[in-house]
Amino acid sequence: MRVLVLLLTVILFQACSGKTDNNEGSHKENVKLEQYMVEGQQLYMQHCSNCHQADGAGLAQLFPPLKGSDYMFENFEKALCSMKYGQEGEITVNGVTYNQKMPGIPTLTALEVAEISTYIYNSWGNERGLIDVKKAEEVLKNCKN
Amino acid sequence: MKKIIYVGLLVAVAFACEKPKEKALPILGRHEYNENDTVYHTIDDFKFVNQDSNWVSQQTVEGKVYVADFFFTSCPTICPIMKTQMLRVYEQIQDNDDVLILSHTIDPKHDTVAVLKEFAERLGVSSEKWHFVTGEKEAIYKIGQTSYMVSAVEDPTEPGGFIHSGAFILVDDQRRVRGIYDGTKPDQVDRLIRDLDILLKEINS
Repeated sequence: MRVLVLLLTVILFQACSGKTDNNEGSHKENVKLEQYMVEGQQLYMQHCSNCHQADGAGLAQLFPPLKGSDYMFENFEKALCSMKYGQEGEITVNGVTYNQKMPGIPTLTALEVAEISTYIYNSWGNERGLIDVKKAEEVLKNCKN
Repeated sequence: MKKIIYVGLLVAVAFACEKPKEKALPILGRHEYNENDTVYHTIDDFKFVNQDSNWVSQQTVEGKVYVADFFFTSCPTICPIMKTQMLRVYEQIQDNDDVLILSHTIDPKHDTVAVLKEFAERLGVSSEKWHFVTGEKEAIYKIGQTSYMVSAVEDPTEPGGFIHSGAFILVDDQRRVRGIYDGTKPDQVDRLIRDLDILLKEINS
């Protein structure tokens, strides 16, 4: 009997501690997401909002929207690469074609690309979660220029 | 002493009661004076080609008010904001026959008629109302500097290769400059839209 109680206690304890671990993990993740969002917004306003607009809606048929953009979600790697290396040629976003050359910003670091990505993929109704620096590094390594 | 104060007060009251008039717009640029007249700074004659391959000259804007700016289509910095803001002006004036918009490219080598045509179409604006013009580079730069009082220079170190002013220039029916606004600042463009109304009232009265 005593053994059973002990076992139960151990199990309970572990279950509880496991749960706190998880909470701490997601808390950390949230803080990181917040940080990325704040930094990302500043970078976005500085480098991207001229064309894509502060509300991510784009401009007429010149600059595509990022808000609710099917292209952005279907071409995740391409989207990240284009920030650093630019993009040329016609693309279709939500059924509309765009053909304005996007200049890249070669000086962006992987962290900055991660922050901008996190911001644009989690703003204006977009939801994709954190894109961390490791992910950005991995994607940027494989960009085709 | 007391009398003076009374008189002063009376004058102040009289002025205070006067109905506030809408302030007339200034006439900008260097004025010259001859014997009995003031000669104002005016926009020089010009002749450029628009997105439909039509000539645009002083005759096109004759008797009209227009808003001018300088940009280039591949500009990554201030031009997109300028175009966003100019689009607001366009929306205000698109049904008004007395107003035009004249956007000059400062990169005529890249911004050919075809490029300007596509740009205008993608922006969704009518070429009757909003002329995107190109021409000889020297002529464009010269009219920018000497007539519209804005600067534009090539600078390979700048993103996009040019450094230029984001000004919107309001020109009246006599080719006089009546206002210069920062086309990248929404509040200045609000003022331009208000001033445009004042100017239209002035020329129609």
